[in-house]
Amino acid sequence: MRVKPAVVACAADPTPSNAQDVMSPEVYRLSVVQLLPPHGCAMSLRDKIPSVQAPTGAPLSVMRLLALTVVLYTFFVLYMKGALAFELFQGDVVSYWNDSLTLATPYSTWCRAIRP
Amino acid sequence: MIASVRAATFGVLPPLAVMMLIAGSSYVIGVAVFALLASEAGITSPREVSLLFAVHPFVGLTSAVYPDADSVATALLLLCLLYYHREQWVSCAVFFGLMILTHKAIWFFALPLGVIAFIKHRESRLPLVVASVPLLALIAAGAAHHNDILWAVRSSMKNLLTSQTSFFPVFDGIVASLIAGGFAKVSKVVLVLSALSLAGMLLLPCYRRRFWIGVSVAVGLLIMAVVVNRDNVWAIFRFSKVLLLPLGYVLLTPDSAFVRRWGGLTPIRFLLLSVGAIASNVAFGYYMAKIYFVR
Repeated sequence: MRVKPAVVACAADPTPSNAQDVMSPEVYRLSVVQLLPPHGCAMSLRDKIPSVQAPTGAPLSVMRLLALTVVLYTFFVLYMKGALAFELFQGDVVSYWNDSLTLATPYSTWCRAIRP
Repeated sequence: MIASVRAATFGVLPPLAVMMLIAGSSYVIGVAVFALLASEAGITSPREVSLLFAVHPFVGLTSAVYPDADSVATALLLLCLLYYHREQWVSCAVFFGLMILTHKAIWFFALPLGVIAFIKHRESRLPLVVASVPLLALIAAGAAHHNDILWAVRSSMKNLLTSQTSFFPVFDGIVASLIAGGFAKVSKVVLVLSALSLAGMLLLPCYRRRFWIGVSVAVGLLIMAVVVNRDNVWAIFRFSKVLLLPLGYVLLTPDSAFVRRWGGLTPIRFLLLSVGAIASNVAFGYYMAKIYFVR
Protein backbone atom coordinates (compact mmCIF):
# COMPACT_ATOMS: atom_id res chain seq x y z
CA MET A 1 0.00 0.00 0.00
CA ARG A 2 2.84 2.41 0.63
CA VAL A 3 3.95 4.34 -2.42
CA LYS A 4 7.14 6.09 -1.40
CA PRO A 5 9.73 3.52 -2.54
CA ALA A 6 8.08 3.05 -5.89
CA VAL A 7 7.81 6.76 -6.55
CA VAL A 8 11.51 7.13 -5.99
CA ALA A 9 12.14 4.43 -8.56
CA CYS A 10 10.11 6.19 -11.24
CA ALA A 11 13.03 8.23 -12.47
CA ALA A 12 14.91 5.15 -13.60
CA ASP A 13 12.15 3.06 -15.10
CA PRO A 14 12.05 2.28 -18.82
CA THR A 15 8.46 3.36 -19.35
CA PRO A 16 7.86 4.77 -22.85
CA SER A 17 9.13 8.28 -23.03
CA ASN A 18 5.79 9.73 -24.08
CA ALA A 19 3.86 8.17 -21.19
CA GLN A 20 3.89 11.42 -19.28
CA ASP A 21 2.60 13.24 -22.34
CA VAL A 22 -0.51 11.12 -22.73
CA MET A 23 -1.61 11.09 -19.11
CA SER A 24 -1.67 13.48 -16.21
CA PRO A 25 1.35 13.39 -13.88
CA GLU A 26 -0.76 11.85 -11.17
CA VAL A 27 -2.14 9.07 -13.35
CA TYR A 28 1.35 8.46 -14.70
CA ARG A 29 2.88 8.30 -11.24
CA LEU A 30 0.20 6.03 -9.85
CA SER A 31 0.25 3.79 -12.93
CA VAL A 32 3.97 3.30 -12.56
CA VAL A 33 3.62 2.72 -8.82
CA GLN A 34 1.10 -0.04 -9.40
CA LEU A 35 3.05 -1.70 -12.16
CA LEU A 36 6.44 -1.57 -10.54
CA PRO A 37 7.66 -5.01 -9.54
CA PRO A 38 9.17 -5.14 -6.04
CA HIS A 39 12.73 -5.71 -7.22
CA GLY A 40 13.01 -4.10 -10.61
CA CYS A 41 11.87 -1.51 -13.06
CA ALA A 42 8.43 -0.91 -14.42
CA MET A 43 7.19 -2.79 -17.44
CA SER A 44 5.92 -0.93 -20.43
CA LEU A 45 2.76 0.92 -19.53
CA ARG A 46 1.32 0.29 -22.98
CA ASP A 47 1.87 -3.47 -22.62
CA LYS A 48 0.05 -3.56 -19.33
CA ILE A 49 -2.71 -1.00 -19.70
CA PRO A 50 -2.82 -0.05 -23.37
CA SER A 51 -6.04 1.94 -23.29
CA VAL A 52 -5.47 4.01 -20.19
CA GLN A 53 -6.67 7.52 -20.91
CA ALA A 54 -5.54 10.78 -19.46
CA PRO A 55 -8.36 12.88 -17.98
CA THR A 56 -8.96 15.75 -20.31
CA GLY A 57 -9.28 19.28 -19.01
CA ALA A 58 -7.34 20.87 -16.17
CA PRO A 59 -7.41 18.80 -12.98
CA LEU A 60 -8.60 20.46 -9.82
CA SER A 61 -5.81 21.71 -7.62
CA VAL A 62 -6.09 21.11 -3.88
CA MET A 63 -6.54 24.79 -3.15
CA ARG A 64 -9.19 25.11 -5.81
CA LEU A 65 -10.96 22.06 -4.38
CA LEU A 66 -10.98 23.54 -0.88
CA ALA A 67 -12.07 26.96 -2.16
CA LEU A 68 -14.88 25.35 -4.11
CA THR A 69 -15.92 23.36 -1.03
CA VAL A 70 -16.06 26.54 1.07
CA VAL A 71 -18.06 28.34 -1.63
CA LEU A 72 -20.54 25.47 -1.89
CA TYR A 73 -20.86 25.30 1.90
CA THR A 74 -21.45 29.06 2.14
CA PHE A 75 -23.97 28.94 -0.69
CA PHE A 76 -25.84 26.21 1.11
CA VAL A 77 -25.82 28.01 4.44
CA LEU A 78 -27.33 31.03 2.69
CA TYR A 79 -29.86 28.80 0.95
CA MET A 80 -30.96 27.01 4.13
CA LYS A 81 -30.84 30.02 6.47
CA GLY A 82 -31.84 32.75 4.04
CA ALA A 83 -34.02 31.33 1.31
CA LEU A 84 -35.66 28.56 3.35
CA ALA A 85 -35.52 30.29 6.77
CA PHE A 86 -34.46 26.98 8.30
CA GLU A 87 -33.60 27.07 11.99
CA LEU A 88 -30.23 25.32 12.23
CA PHE A 89 -30.09 25.48 16.02
CA GLN A 90 -32.61 22.77 16.83
CA GLY A 91 -32.82 19.06 17.58
CA ASP A 92 -29.56 17.27 18.32
CA VAL A 93 -27.59 20.51 17.90
CA VAL A 94 -29.30 22.01 20.96
CA SER A 95 -28.63 18.81 22.94
CA TYR A 96 -24.93 18.94 22.10
CA TRP A 97 -24.74 22.60 23.10
CA ASN A 98 -26.52 22.02 26.41
CA ASP A 99 -24.29 19.04 27.19
CA SER A 100 -21.23 21.20 26.59
CA LEU A 101 -22.33 23.55 29.36
CA THR A 102 -22.36 20.95 32.09
CA LEU A 103 -20.21 18.11 33.32
CA ALA A 104 -23.05 15.65 32.84
CA THR A 105 -22.17 12.69 30.67
CA PRO A 106 -23.46 13.02 27.12
CA TYR A 107 -25.31 10.39 25.08
CA SER A 108 -28.03 9.69 27.62
CA THR A 109 -29.90 12.87 26.73
CA TRP A 110 -29.34 12.63 23.00
CA CYS A 111 -31.55 11.10 20.36
CA ARG A 112 -34.66 12.94 21.53
CA ALA A 113 -34.98 14.72 18.23
CA ILE A 114 -34.46 12.33 15.38
CA ARG A 115 -33.24 13.74 12.10
CA PRO A 116 -34.81 12.84 8.77
CA MET B 1 -14.84 19.99 21.60
CA ILE B 2 -17.70 22.48 21.85
CA ALA B 3 -16.53 23.59 25.28
CA SER B 4 -12.97 23.99 23.95
CA VAL B 5 -14.09 26.22 21.08
CA ARG B 6 -16.24 28.23 23.47
CA ALA B 7 -13.26 28.73 25.74
CA ALA B 8 -10.90 29.55 22.87
CA THR B 9 -13.27 32.23 21.59
CA PHE B 10 -13.85 33.60 25.14
CA GLY B 11 -17.54 32.78 24.91
CA VAL B 12 -18.27 35.72 22.63
CA LEU B 13 -19.65 33.66 19.77
CA PRO B 14 -23.34 32.72 19.83
CA PRO B 15 -24.10 28.98 20.13
CA LEU B 16 -25.00 28.53 16.47
CA ALA B 17 -21.76 30.21 15.33
CA VAL B 18 -19.71 27.85 17.52
CA MET B 19 -21.55 24.80 16.23
CA MET B 20 -21.22 25.91 12.60
CA LEU B 21 -17.55 26.72 13.06
CA ILE B 22 -16.92 23.18 14.27
CA ALA B 23 -19.15 21.43 11.74
CA GLY B 24 -18.06 23.60 8.79
CA SER B 25 -14.35 23.22 9.54
CA SER B 26 -14.81 19.47 9.92
CA TYR B 27 -16.61 19.33 6.60
CA VAL B 28 -13.77 21.08 4.77
CA ILE B 29 -11.15 18.98 6.57
CA GLY B 30 -13.11 15.85 5.67
CA VAL B 31 -13.10 16.77 1.98
CA ALA B 32 -9.36 17.50 2.06
CA VAL B 33 -8.60 14.20 3.83
CA PHE B 34 -10.82 12.34 1.38
CA ALA B 35 -8.79 13.84 -1.49
CA LEU B 36 -5.54 12.79 0.16
CA LEU B 37 -6.81 9.29 0.83
CA ALA B 38 -8.20 8.93 -2.69
CA SER B 39 -4.87 10.05 -4.11
CA GLU B 40 -2.85 7.67 -1.96
CA ALA B 41 -5.23 4.80 -2.76
CA GLY B 42 -4.44 5.31 -6.45
CA ILE B 43 -7.78 6.73 -7.57
CA THR B 44 -7.47 8.77 -10.77
CA SER B 45 -8.87 12.31 -10.51
CA PRO B 46 -8.87 12.13 -6.70
CA ARG B 47 -9.87 15.74 -6.25
CA GLU B 48 -12.83 15.42 -8.61
CA VAL B 49 -13.99 12.37 -6.64
CA SER B 50 -13.55 14.39 -3.45
CA LEU B 51 -15.77 17.11 -4.80
CA LEU B 52 -18.40 14.48 -5.53
CA PHE B 53 -17.99 13.37 -1.92
CA ALA B 54 -18.52 16.98 -0.81
CA VAL B 55 -21.76 17.27 -2.77
CA HIS B 56 -22.87 13.66 -2.25
CA PRO B 57 -26.49 13.25 -3.40
CA PHE B 58 -29.06 14.50 -0.88
CA VAL B 59 -26.78 14.62 2.17
CA GLY B 60 -23.37 16.00 1.16
CA LEU B 61 -24.27 19.66 1.68
CA THR B 62 -27.44 19.44 3.78
CA SER B 63 -25.71 17.24 6.32
CA ALA B 64 -22.74 19.61 6.46
CA VAL B 65 -24.84 22.74 6.97
CA TYR B 66 -26.96 21.27 9.77
CA PRO B 67 -24.28 21.51 12.48
CA ASP B 68 -24.64 18.21 14.31
CA ALA B 69 -21.93 15.61 14.84
CA ASP B 70 -22.01 14.04 11.36
CA SER B 71 -19.30 16.19 9.78
CA VAL B 72 -16.98 15.87 12.77
CA ALA B 73 -17.47 12.09 12.95
CA THR B 74 -16.96 11.68 9.19
CA ALA B 75 -13.77 13.76 9.23
CA LEU B 76 -12.38 11.71 12.12
CA LEU B 77 -13.35 8.46 10.39
CA LEU B 78 -11.54 9.57 7.22
CA LEU B 79 -8.45 10.57 9.21
CA CYS B 80 -8.49 7.16 10.89
CA LEU B 81 -8.82 5.45 7.50
CA LEU B 82 -6.00 7.59 6.08
CA TYR B 83 -3.56 6.54 8.79
CA TYR B 84 -4.78 2.96 8.60
CA HIS B 85 -3.97 3.02 4.89
CA ARG B 86 -0.52 4.43 5.69
CA GLU B 87 -0.11 1.84 8.44
CA GLN B 88 0.80 4.57 10.94
CA TRP B 89 -0.83 2.99 13.92
CA VAL B 90 -0.36 5.60 16.62
CA SER B 91 -2.00 8.31 14.51
CA CYS B 92 -4.63 5.83 13.37
CA ALA B 93 -5.39 4.95 16.99
CA VAL B 94 -5.67 8.60 18.06
CA PHE B 95 -8.35 9.25 15.46
CA PHE B 96 -9.93 5.87 16.19
CA GLY B 97 -10.33 6.88 19.83
CA LEU B 98 -11.71 10.31 18.92
CA MET B 99 -14.17 9.02 16.36
CA ILE B 100 -15.74 6.43 18.66
CA LEU B 101 -16.15 9.13 21.29
CA THR B 102 -17.83 11.47 18.84
CA HIS B 103 -20.69 9.51 17.31
CA LYS B 104 -22.23 6.16 18.07
CA ALA B 105 -22.95 5.50 14.38
CA ILE B 106 -19.19 5.35 13.92
CA TRP B 107 -19.06 2.27 16.14
CA PHE B 108 -20.46 0.32 13.20
CA PHE B 109 -17.38 1.23 11.14
CA ALA B 110 -14.96 0.98 14.04
CA LEU B 111 -15.91 -2.63 14.72
CA PRO B 112 -14.88 -4.14 11.34
CA LEU B 113 -11.94 -1.77 11.05
CA GLY B 114 -10.65 -2.76 14.50
CA VAL B 115 -11.18 -6.46 13.85
CA ILE B 116 -9.34 -6.33 10.51
CA ALA B 117 -6.51 -4.31 12.03
CA PHE B 118 -6.20 -6.80 14.89
CA ILE B 119 -6.05 -9.74 12.51
CA LYS B 120 -3.89 -8.23 9.79
CA HIS B 121 -1.54 -5.94 11.70
CA ARG B 122 -0.13 -7.13 14.98
CA GLU B 123 1.51 -3.75 15.63
CA SER B 124 -1.90 -2.02 15.56
CA ARG B 125 -3.27 -3.96 18.53
CA LEU B 126 -1.80 -2.05 21.46
CA PRO B 127 -2.47 1.45 20.05
CA LEU B 128 -6.07 0.56 19.24
CA VAL B 129 -6.69 -0.93 22.68
CA VAL B 130 -5.21 2.16 24.34
CA ALA B 131 -7.33 4.37 22.07
CA SER B 132 -10.47 2.66 23.33
CA VAL B 133 -9.70 3.56 26.96
CA PRO B 134 -11.24 7.08 26.89
CA LEU B 135 -14.56 5.71 25.67
CA LEU B 136 -14.47 2.92 28.25
CA ALA B 137 -13.63 5.47 30.95
CA LEU B 138 -16.54 7.65 29.85
CA ILE B 139 -18.87 4.66 29.96
CA ALA B 140 -17.58 3.72 33.43
CA ALA B 141 -17.96 7.29 34.72
CA GLY B 142 -21.45 7.49 33.26
CA ALA B 143 -22.36 4.17 34.82
CA ALA B 144 -21.41 5.55 38.22
CA HIS B 145 -23.20 8.84 37.60
CA HIS B 146 -26.43 7.31 36.26
CA ASN B 147 -26.35 4.10 38.32
CA ASP B 148 -26.86 2.29 35.04
CA ILE B 149 -24.19 0.22 33.34
CA LEU B 150 -26.01 0.52 30.00
CA TRP B 151 -26.66 4.25 30.25
CA ALA B 152 -24.65 5.01 27.10
CA VAL B 153 -26.71 2.81 24.86
CA ARG B 154 -30.06 2.74 26.64
CA SER B 155 -31.60 5.73 24.86
CA SER B 156 -30.29 4.48 21.55
CA MET B 157 -31.58 0.98 22.22
CA LYS B 158 -34.99 2.42 22.95
CA ASN B 159 -35.19 5.10 20.29
CA LEU B 160 -32.96 3.98 17.46
CA LEU B 161 -32.46 0.23 17.57
CA THR B 162 -35.57 -1.42 19.02
CA SER B 163 -37.73 -2.93 16.32
CA GLN B 164 -41.04 -1.20 15.70
CA THR B 165 -42.41 -4.18 13.82
CA SER B 166 -42.44 -6.93 16.40
CA PHE B 167 -42.58 -9.72 13.84
CA PHE B 168 -39.30 -8.77 12.17
CA PRO B 169 -36.48 -8.04 14.60
CA VAL B 170 -33.81 -7.24 11.98
CA PHE B 171 -33.83 -4.78 9.07
CA ASP B 172 -36.57 -2.96 10.94
CA GLY B 173 -35.51 0.38 9.51
CA ILE B 174 -36.29 -0.82 6.01
CA VAL B 175 -39.28 -3.05 6.76
CA ALA B 176 -41.04 -0.66 9.13
CA SER B 177 -40.53 2.26 6.74
CA LEU B 178 -42.07 0.27 3.91
CA ILE B 179 -45.00 -0.80 6.10
CA ALA B 180 -45.57 2.80 7.18
CA GLY B 181 -45.83 3.77 3.51
CA GLY B 182 -46.01 7.27 2.12
CA PHE B 183 -43.90 8.88 -0.57
CA ALA B 184 -41.20 10.23 1.77
CA LYS B 185 -40.62 6.95 3.61
CA VAL B 186 -40.65 4.81 0.48
CA SER B 187 -38.24 7.22 -1.22
CA LYS B 188 -36.02 7.02 1.84
CA VAL B 189 -36.05 3.22 1.68
CA VAL B 190 -35.19 3.26 -2.03
CA LEU B 191 -32.17 5.48 -1.36
CA VAL B 192 -31.08 3.39 1.63
CA LEU B 193 -31.43 0.18 -0.37
CA SER B 194 -29.39 1.66 -3.21
CA ALA B 195 -26.61 2.51 -0.74
CA LEU B 196 -26.76 -0.96 0.78
CA SER B 197 -26.72 -2.62 -2.64
CA LEU B 198 -23.65 -0.59 -3.49
CA ALA B 199 -22.01 -1.62 -0.22
CA GLY B 200 -22.80 -5.27 -0.96
CA MET B 201 -21.45 -5.03 -4.49
CA LEU B 202 -18.24 -3.32 -3.38
CA LEU B 203 -17.50 -5.83 -0.65
CA LEU B 204 -16.14 -8.61 -2.85
CA PRO B 205 -13.93 -6.52 -5.16
CA CYS B 206 -12.52 -4.65 -2.15
CA TYR B 207 -11.84 -7.96 -0.38
CA ARG B 208 -10.18 -9.45 -3.47
CA ARG B 209 -7.93 -6.41 -3.82
CA ARG B 210 -7.21 -6.32 -0.08
CA PHE B 211 -8.61 -2.80 0.19
CA TRP B 212 -9.45 -3.20 3.85
CA ILE B 213 -10.69 0.29 4.53
CA GLY B 214 -13.25 -0.24 1.77
CA VAL B 215 -14.26 -3.56 3.32
CA SER B 216 -14.67 -1.87 6.73
CA VAL B 217 -16.91 0.87 5.36
CA ALA B 218 -19.10 -1.58 3.42
CA VAL B 219 -19.41 -4.03 6.32
CA GLY B 220 -20.14 -1.17 8.75
CA LEU B 221 -23.06 0.04 6.64
CA LEU B 222 -24.45 -3.48 6.28
CA ILE B 223 -24.32 -4.08 10.05
CA MET B 224 -26.02 -0.73 10.59
CA ALA B 225 -28.81 -1.78 8.23
CA VAL B 226 -29.43 -4.95 10.23
CA VAL B 227 -29.95 -3.24 13.58
CA VAL B 228 -31.28 0.30 13.18
CA ASN B 229 -35.01 0.97 13.30
CA ARG B 230 -37.24 3.21 11.23
CA ASP B 231 -36.36 6.37 13.13
CA ASN B 232 -32.69 6.04 12.37
CA VAL B 233 -32.63 4.33 8.99
CA TRP B 234 -31.61 7.57 7.27
CA ALA B 235 -28.29 7.42 9.14
CA ILE B 236 -27.33 4.60 6.78
CA PHE B 237 -27.65 6.92 3.82
CA ARG B 238 -26.00 9.86 5.61
CA PHE B 239 -22.90 7.82 6.32
CA SER B 240 -22.96 6.00 2.98
CA LYS B 241 -21.14 8.94 1.39
CA VAL B 242 -17.89 7.38 2.60
CA LEU B 243 -18.67 4.53 0.16
CA LEU B 244 -17.41 6.84 -2.58
CA LEU B 245 -13.92 5.86 -1.47
CA PRO B 246 -14.22 2.10 -2.19
CA LEU B 247 -16.37 2.90 -5.22
CA GLY B 248 -13.66 5.17 -6.58
CA TYR B 249 -11.05 2.54 -5.76
CA VAL B 250 -12.91 -0.19 -7.66
CA LEU B 251 -13.93 1.94 -10.65
CA LEU B 252 -11.27 4.61 -10.99
CA THR B 253 -7.85 3.14 -10.37
CA PRO B 254 -5.75 3.06 -13.57
CA ASP B 255 -6.01 -0.71 -13.98
CA SER B 256 -9.78 -0.89 -13.51
CA ALA B 257 -11.94 -2.08 -16.39
CA PHE B 258 -14.07 1.05 -16.13
CA VAL B 259 -11.10 3.31 -16.75
CA ARG B 260 -9.65 1.14 -19.53
CA ARG B 261 -12.89 0.52 -21.41
CA TRP B 262 -15.00 3.55 -20.60
CA GLY B 263 -12.50 6.28 -19.90
CA GLY B 264 -13.20 6.70 -16.18
CA LEU B 265 -14.49 9.97 -14.78
CA THR B 266 -14.57 12.11 -17.92
CA PRO B 267 -15.28 15.85 -17.56
CA ILE B 268 -18.83 15.51 -18.88
CA ARG B 269 -19.60 12.68 -16.45
CA PHE B 270 -18.10 14.66 -13.60
CA LEU B 271 -20.16 17.71 -14.54
CA LEU B 272 -23.41 15.75 -14.82
CA LEU B 273 -22.82 13.95 -11.52
CA SER B 274 -21.93 17.18 -9.71
CA VAL B 275 -24.93 19.11 -11.00
CA GLY B 276 -27.27 16.22 -10.23
CA ALA B 277 -25.86 15.84 -6.73
CA ILE B 278 -26.14 19.57 -5.95
CA ALA B 279 -29.72 19.64 -7.28
CA SER B 280 -30.64 16.70 -5.03
CA ASN B 281 -29.17 18.58 -2.04
CA VAL B 282 -31.26 21.63 -2.91
CA ALA B 283 -34.38 19.46 -3.04
CA PHE B 284 -33.56 17.64 0.20
CA GLY B 285 -32.79 20.93 1.94
CA TYR B 286 -36.27 22.10 0.96
CA TYR B 287 -37.74 18.87 2.36
CA MET B 288 -35.87 19.32 5.65
CA ALA B 289 -36.84 22.96 6.09
CA LYS B 290 -40.40 22.97 4.83
CA ILE B 291 -41.70 19.48 5.51
CA TYR B 292 -39.73 17.38 7.98
CA PHE B 293 -38.83 19.87 10.68
CA VAL B 294 -42.19 21.69 10.63
CA ARG B 295 -44.24 18.56 11.34
